[in-house]
Amino acid sequence: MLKTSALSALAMLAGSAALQAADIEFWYGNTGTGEVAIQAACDAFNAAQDDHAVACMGQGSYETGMQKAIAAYRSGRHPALIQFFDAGTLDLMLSGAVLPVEELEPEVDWGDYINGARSYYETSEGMLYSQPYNGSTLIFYGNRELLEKAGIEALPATWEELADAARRLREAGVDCPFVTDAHPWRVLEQFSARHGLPIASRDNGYGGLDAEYTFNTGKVAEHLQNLHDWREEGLVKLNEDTAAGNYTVAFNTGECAMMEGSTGSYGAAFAALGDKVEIAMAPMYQGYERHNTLIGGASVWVMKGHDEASYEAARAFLDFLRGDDRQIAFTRTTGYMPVTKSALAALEAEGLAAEPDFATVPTGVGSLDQPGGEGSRGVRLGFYVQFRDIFMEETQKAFTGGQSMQAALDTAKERGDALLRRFEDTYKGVALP
Amino acid sequence: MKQEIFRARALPWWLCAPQLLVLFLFFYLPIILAFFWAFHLEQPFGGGSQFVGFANFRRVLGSGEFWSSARATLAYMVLASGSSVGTALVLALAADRRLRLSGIARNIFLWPKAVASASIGVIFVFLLNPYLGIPAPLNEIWPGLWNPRTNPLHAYAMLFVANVWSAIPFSFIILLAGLQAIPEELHKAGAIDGAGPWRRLRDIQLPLLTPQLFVVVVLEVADSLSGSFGLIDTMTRGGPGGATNLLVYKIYSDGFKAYDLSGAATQTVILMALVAVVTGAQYLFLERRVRYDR
Amino acid sequence: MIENSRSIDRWATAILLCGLVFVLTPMAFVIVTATQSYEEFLRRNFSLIPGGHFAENLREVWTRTDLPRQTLNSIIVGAIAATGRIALAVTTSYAVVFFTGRGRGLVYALVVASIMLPLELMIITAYQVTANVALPLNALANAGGLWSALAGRPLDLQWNLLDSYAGIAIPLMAQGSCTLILVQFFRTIPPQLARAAIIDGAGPLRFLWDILLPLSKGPLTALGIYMFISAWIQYMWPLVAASSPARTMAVVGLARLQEEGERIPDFPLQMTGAILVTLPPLILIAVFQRRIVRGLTLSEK
Repeated sequence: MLKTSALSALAMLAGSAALQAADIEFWYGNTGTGEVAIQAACDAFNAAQDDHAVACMGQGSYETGMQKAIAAYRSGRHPALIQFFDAGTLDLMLSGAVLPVEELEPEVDWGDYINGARSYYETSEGMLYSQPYNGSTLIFYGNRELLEKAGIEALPATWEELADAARRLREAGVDCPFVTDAHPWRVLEQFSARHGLPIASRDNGYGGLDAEYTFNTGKVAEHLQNLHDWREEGLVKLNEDTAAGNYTVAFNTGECAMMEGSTGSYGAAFAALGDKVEIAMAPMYQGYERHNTLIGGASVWVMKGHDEASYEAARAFLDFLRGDDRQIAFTRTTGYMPVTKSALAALEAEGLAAEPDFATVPTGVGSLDQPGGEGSRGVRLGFYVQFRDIFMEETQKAFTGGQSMQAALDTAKERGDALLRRFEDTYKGVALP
Repeated sequence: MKQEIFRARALPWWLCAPQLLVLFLFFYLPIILAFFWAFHLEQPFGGGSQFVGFANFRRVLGSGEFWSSARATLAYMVLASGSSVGTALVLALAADRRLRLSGIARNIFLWPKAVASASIGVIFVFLLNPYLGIPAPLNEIWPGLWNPRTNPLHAYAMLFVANVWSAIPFSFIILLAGLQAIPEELHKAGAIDGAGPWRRLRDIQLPLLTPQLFVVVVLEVADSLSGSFGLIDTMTRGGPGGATNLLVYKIYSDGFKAYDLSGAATQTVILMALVAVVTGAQYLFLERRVRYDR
Repeated sequence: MIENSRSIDRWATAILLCGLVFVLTPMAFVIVTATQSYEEFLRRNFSLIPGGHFAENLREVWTRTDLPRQTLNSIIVGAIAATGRIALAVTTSYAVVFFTGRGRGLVYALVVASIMLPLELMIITAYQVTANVALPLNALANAGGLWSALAGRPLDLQWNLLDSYAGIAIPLMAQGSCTLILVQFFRTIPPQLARAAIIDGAGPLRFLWDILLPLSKGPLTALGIYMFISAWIQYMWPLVAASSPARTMAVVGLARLQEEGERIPDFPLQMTGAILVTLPPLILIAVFQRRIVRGLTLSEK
């Protein structure tokens, strides 16, 4: 008797809990100012309405968040929403663990997202899988004080001009004219995209899982060889050649005069150098038409296996994050950029675009909004996170003299192709959406 | 085992059960699971896993970077344990001479045990920083003299120094205890027979120390591997150019950063086999030379 | 020693001095750097001149980083792991040494084998097991479709220990060195003691509790301290098993201080953190040096 009544009480409890089961979790990977801004967004959302509650849980990094999500998904304890970074897009698309945002909210006008932000996260058929969140892209930074020392008026727009400027900087006594970490996001992905060159066949993998890397020939190979030669000449420095040990730090401390970096680095650079910081779109090689750069940062994914009430909450939260005010507030704290046309229009209308908090927006969005090409939609390649490490490892060996740059790129291609084949095997029978 | 006293059937099993359960869950089961995954191609999100026979092994064994990582791992195991045991042995021999310094030394040589490998990494990577650390003045005079961020040899040198520093305590304690257990009379007898100190070291001390040396070498080999992760993760992150990407670190990054569960599990199986072979070889070749009689 | 060989003693002294310098130099540099302010450090780079900013740096560490809470986590995990390892080792070694019966050799071998393969080697799958400890139950129940036939669907129990104190501490206990040492120690205990207890009418558990444990207090404390320190200095497992800041351990937290991306690393702050993280185990070692040495060398007799 007692037992049954206890059971029914339990059942009632469970039932009532199910009715308001609109408490969802959102896992994110940012730390620092990004984390502050995300928590602020969550608090604002929870304060603004009573129907849903979202618990935003920091995971320390994108990688940890993903790893925990994998373990959690395998044991059925995963969050409804998870933020994940650009390079893992295909891994998530094929995981069978996510629900495309366009399917979750078909009524939303997803075309409001600017081209460069959309194409990275949509299928070859044009269906958006995740909602772009903290958007960044590659831009070019210069330290006006150092550049003026060498009599350089404007930031170089081409690599040829850049090499020239670097030589003059050296003559003027600047030991580190241009600094980069040679990370593939900068020297491979963004470089190829804005030059309209694919890094892999099958439209960078958008056309099928049987893609193969192609970056080891042509302009990309030439560019990396140039970087190598320029480093020998003393025009280019890598992380490990700088006292600071890190390219953004080396730029911020005034050790180096120029760098290419994410729009997200602007905040710290401005804090350190003030209005000595100048930005522009990343340089091109002469004779190439400029295409859009890729969106960096991360997007928000909806995970499968939750009830309708949770998805209702997820919709509300995604709508909230997408709102113009939210995007602008997020940009103000972090230096990431608004990526919908309406938010950009609102920014313009409110006359905020001139404020230093939004200094990267015209350049960054301008760069994202260039005409698209087959090479600039995004990167749709499997185990791409692992490939980035391989690329770094092989090119680092070339930079430090262990092998020639061409050999490094050939090996990276070979190892990368092996990864792609294994990815294909792992998802045998799964169709690329 | 002569001490069996109580006769009870169930009780001893109940007494062993907790430890066996913990060992099963967190030692044997991970091993079994590693073998399982090594023969399957596992989708990260658990969508499907298919039996692929030895395909994972063929792939891993066919890749150049696995072999360079395995070679580096083996070399590291031998050199790191060798250098740390050697250092500890010299220090123990010196401390055994009952000098005024011995007492202090015996205490202080244990201190590194309190410092985690990752903390040592954080500390040494700063001390040996080419631009901000101890070598900075030298680097200003001769640019490029020392840069572990670009020079693999320097990177390894940094790892070895940090490893020796952290491995002194354990080997030192065990070896010193072994030395002190050698009866004084043996020394005296040796001296009367006209054997000098070097001769006694070779003929009396070292042979009688073999049991301790054996234990220390076996444990240091395993320890150098597990400690290498903390050092690498804080000092070199596998670089420059993958030069210090030892298997322990490679497995971690393949599995946790690149979601390659099958590849990581396959390398885990191979690494465990490697350690088992090295340990087995030590038993075969070293233990024979151990003298247990005193 | 035997002959009055001054020259050898001089050499030995020199060697010991070298060793002391090698061990102490890094520690000294850490302390000196921790007394400098960030600005001082940037101006002079590396220098041996102590500054007067240790208290300030300590306050920074205390307020700006998570290290205070992480230190508490280390204490908790260290205490759980040490007590757990001792408790498991005591019961197992007691069963192995004092009982007759089959299987003791096998149990002992199973336990000791775990010393050879550290947790770091099987991190990938240990993580997976910790993510769902009920895994073997599910596998067992579902073998051959058994559970599906009975209940209509495969058994799918979930018990995730990741990011919990238990999940960090218990896998650290899956290592047999403590048992190895205790077995050696129990074997040195005269069997007459137990026989006398039997004659007095004490059962095995009573003997364990009333006689054996009090008798082993010294070695057990030494081992406990050593195991606490061993758990404290773990890095890889706490790194993967705990992801929320609320469960991160101090050593992992210290390594994370390295990841400041936007300026020259604040080395004075890092070194202050290193002192904070190292001091508790260091004090234990310096104070209990004799006991720990005795506890460890037990197995060597």
